[in-house]
Amino acid sequence: MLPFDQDTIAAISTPPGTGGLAVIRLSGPRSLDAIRPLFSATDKLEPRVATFGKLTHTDLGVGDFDDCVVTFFKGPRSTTGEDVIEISIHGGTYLQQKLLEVLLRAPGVRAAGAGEFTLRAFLRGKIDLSRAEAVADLIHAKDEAAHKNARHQLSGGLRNLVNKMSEDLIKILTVIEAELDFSDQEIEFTPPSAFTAPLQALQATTQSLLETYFYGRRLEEGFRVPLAGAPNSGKSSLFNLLLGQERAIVTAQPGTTRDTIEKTIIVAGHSVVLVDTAGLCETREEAESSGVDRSKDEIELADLIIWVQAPDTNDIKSLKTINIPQITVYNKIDLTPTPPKNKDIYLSCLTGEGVDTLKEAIYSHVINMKNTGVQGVILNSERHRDIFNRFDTQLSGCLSAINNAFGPEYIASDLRLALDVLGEITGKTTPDDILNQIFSGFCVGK
Amino acid sequence: MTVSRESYEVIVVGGGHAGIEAALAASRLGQTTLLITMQIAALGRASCNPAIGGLAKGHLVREIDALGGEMARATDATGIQFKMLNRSKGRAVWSPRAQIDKHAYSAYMIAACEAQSGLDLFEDEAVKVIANRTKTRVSGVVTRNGAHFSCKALVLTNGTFLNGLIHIGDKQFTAGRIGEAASVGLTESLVTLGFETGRLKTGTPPRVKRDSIDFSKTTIQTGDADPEAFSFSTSNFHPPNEACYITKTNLETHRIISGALHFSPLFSGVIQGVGPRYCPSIEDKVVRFSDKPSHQLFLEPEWSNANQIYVNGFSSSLPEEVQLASLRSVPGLERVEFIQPGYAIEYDFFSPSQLKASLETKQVKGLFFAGQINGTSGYEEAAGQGLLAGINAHLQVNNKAPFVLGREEAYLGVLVDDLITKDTDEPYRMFTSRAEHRLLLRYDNAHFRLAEKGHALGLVSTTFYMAVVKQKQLAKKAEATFDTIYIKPQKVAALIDLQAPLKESQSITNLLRRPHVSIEQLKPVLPGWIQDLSPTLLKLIATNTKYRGYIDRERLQVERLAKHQNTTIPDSVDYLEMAAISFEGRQKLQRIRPETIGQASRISGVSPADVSILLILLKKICFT
Ligand SMILES: Nc1nc2c(ncn2[C@@H]2O[C@H](COP(=O)(O)OP(=O)(O)OP(=O)(O)O)[C@@H](O)[C@H]2O)c(=O)[nH]1
Ligand SMILES: [Mg+2]
Repeated sequence: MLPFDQDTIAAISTPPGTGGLAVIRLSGPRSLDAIRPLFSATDKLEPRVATFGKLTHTDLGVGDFDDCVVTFFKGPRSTTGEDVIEISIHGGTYLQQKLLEVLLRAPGVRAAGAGEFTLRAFLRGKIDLSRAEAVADLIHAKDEAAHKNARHQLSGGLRNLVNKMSEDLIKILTVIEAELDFSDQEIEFTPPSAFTAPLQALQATTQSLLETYFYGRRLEEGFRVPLAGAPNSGKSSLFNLLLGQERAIVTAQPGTTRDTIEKTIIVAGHSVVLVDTAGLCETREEAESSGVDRSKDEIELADLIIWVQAPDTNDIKSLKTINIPQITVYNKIDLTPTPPKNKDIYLSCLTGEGVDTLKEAIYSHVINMKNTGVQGVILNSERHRDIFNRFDTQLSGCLSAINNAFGPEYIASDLRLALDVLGEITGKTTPDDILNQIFSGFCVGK
Repeated sequence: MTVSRESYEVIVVGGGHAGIEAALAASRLGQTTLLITMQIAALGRASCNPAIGGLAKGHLVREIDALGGEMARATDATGIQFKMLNRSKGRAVWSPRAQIDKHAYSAYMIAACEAQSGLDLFEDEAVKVIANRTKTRVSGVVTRNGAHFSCKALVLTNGTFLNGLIHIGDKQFTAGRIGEAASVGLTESLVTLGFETGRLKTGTPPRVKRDSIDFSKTTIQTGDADPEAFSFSTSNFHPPNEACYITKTNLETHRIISGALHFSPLFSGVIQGVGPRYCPSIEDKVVRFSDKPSHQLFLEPEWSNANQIYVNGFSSSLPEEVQLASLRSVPGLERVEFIQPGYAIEYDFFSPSQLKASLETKQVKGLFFAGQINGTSGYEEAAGQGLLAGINAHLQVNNKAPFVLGREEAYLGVLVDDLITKDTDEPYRMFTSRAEHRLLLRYDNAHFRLAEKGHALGLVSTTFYMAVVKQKQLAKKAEATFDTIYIKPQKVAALIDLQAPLKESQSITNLLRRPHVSIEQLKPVLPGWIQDLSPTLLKLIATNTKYRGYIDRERLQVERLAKHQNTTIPDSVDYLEMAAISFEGRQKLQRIRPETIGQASRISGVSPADVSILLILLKKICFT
């Protein structure tokens, strides 16, 4: 965290895992600019008035945030003393993360560091002096935790990996800076095109690293596995069976389950969140219809869908699930001697037949989703992901400067910015670090 | 001796590049000023190479000029070869360099000092600094011959003279420079006042006779045919263009040197001081880069038509016979004769972390340090500090706020900030890579950056300042015009040799942003009033346009980090009590005692979290 920058910071400000209503907070001069392209009612915003509207963006699902509430606090009359935007949304952790990601892509916006909202509030004189020490402790504690985490990561290797990436960048920068600062001496000229390959390699690593984030989040929050299908197909029965406890109500009446119920089990060392859903059907009843909407959300956000069918119910074909792994389960085989072909698994909740096969199938899906990471490193913090996203952008800047035959002073400027971004994890690279490399690698000096 | 009084407002000790600028600035700003030097004839003497400027150093000289210093004018008047370095690269990293006539340079500076009203020169050696009883306020200085002068501000610029010790092989003798006595006593006086001192080392190569060199075996190197002056005020610039020559060492040279390393005080452990890595001795190069079959040597005349040649690249403290034998293995130097051997010199310096950003010491009010005494190397670094110390001595005498340049404003700002926040363990030299805002700090825009400040101080004439203001307006207007003029593809093709023809019209701005397009090529399509601008201004405008995206980004970064940078930290702070700050951070802060949060954040070992906590605790201290 830079205690004196002018960036706009963003974070989810409700504790993780609370679900339901969440608040995402932005603070800084660009708060309003960041939300403008997303929020339908930005022009109606007035200081301190909660305003209803829709959040739309190509990366957000249609209808994800139809009924959000945005409140604008104009600085200095806000908690931090800066312009603050608070977005209240419905939706679980996944949707909150998604929205935060979109916000972090706005220019001048970055993920908030530990205790940063509080720090800003304090520096603007918004918090009572007696709390000063508490803030210091907070930063200190978080820093300590980050430190421990960093040490912990040593075996996992995030720090090693980032150090290695910085070293690669420093190597390139050293050659360029040596040429700029010692061009009057015998230094072999390296054409900038020679740096394209190592920079592309760095970018590839960065992108693989960013891809691990999805898995990293799943590690923290669990894989979401909804049981979906027509009413009365036996979803709740199966849910209970997989949990090994009678958690969901089972009746012979279709439409028993009206709201989603979730419960975590451990499969292959990973948390798997099983979600029992309301049966999918056209309905006019309000409570039931909102239950069906919930089911649809769960299906779209799933990591693995278990479709439950039965001889005494209709098949349900759902949309927008093409890219999600799924298992089609044919339940109640005790009722029919000739079940239809091409189902993945045939089972009976009544007799317990086939349930182990389903468990094995879930197990292998979880193993399949497992990401070994980049040299064992899996990103799981939004801050790190934000950093690597910005690093990726900076690397593109370096590469395009080289491609466009820009001079070494331009490339050096881009490389330094890239290093600064990585420095948010490893600590800053100073000019002395570069000079030391030059002096140890080149015979300079007359 | 032209001493007119016993009491001065400002006294400067030392007549090197730092001392001269300090004395001239203080007296020009109206202070009664005394310059004490051991030898008036040695004022402005170049102890090492006969050159001014070079990469990053050229930038410093231009900045000194824009602030009303003397170095650039002296160089223009006495240079014998001018060359723009990095010409093949973008203008942001161009840097001017000149070979100077050392005799003429020194004579120029002597004349400038003698002609300066309000400035007295006194030939003697300062041996003691006088302070009040609590050692918190300077009050005067005592010389070797017993003269006693009182002052309100004292600027020490002692160069390599403080307890200077020269090494040539196993021979050692005290000296400030070869042939000149060292200064003894002043270090001890400063230690008594509570300052910490250390030892540094630097070296210089042999001087040889021109008529003992066979130049037919060397490569000739001349300056630019169209030289650019250092000073913004120089006009009608037609300097000489005298040649330098390049030759190379070889394996035989290296063999002789390797065989005699045990005679080198650097390797035998006799020299304790740390030398600069960017200016290694030839024995260092041979040892550290043993795989390099040869090293370049530059043969530079020390003055116009000099019989004395400086062997740049062959700095050494080996015994004279070894230096001579190894040099004689070099093509063209087979029969070379020495006028003076190379030598190493050790001297006292005072860690600049004991200084404020004004170059005033933190402990003793009115006492300023500038130049090599602060552990820097180079004439330009020295002159820059001298100028700033002279200005700040004047401001201090008049109870005015100090003059401090930001890192984003000038290399001079980078220089001072680096000095006071970093622990120097080798002589500090400026490099362009030290400036994080390199694209903002160009040699060609030093006056755009600094003339206004120089004028406000009273060191820069109103005429010059008004001319700069006018140029700035024209530049702004021209840059805006470049955005609005679009050139059709056919027309562009006629002017510029493009690989792929353009599909649509392009603005002048966009054309200029292409790497190989120059303003000269586009001249025919520029409006008349822009064509009529001076070539120098036109190039500056083109450079601004070329770098615009990058410059804007650097400006943005400066703004982004501006908050809290200048928040001052009270003197009374006890860092050791701040338990929430990391142990290392506390120790560093306690020792260096930064003046601002910005300085604190640049001290190595002080983490961003430490700075956050410091900010919090400071607020608390200020309110209670
Ligand atoms: N014979 C037989 N009956 C089953 C089996 N599995 C579930 N049932 C019965 O089917 C009926 C519906 O079961 P639920 O588990 O409530 O079905 P559901 O899909 O959750 O239904 P909704 O919540 O209404 O959508 C109950 O009467 C169950 O006892 C099975 O394998 N065999
Ligand atoms: Mg149910």
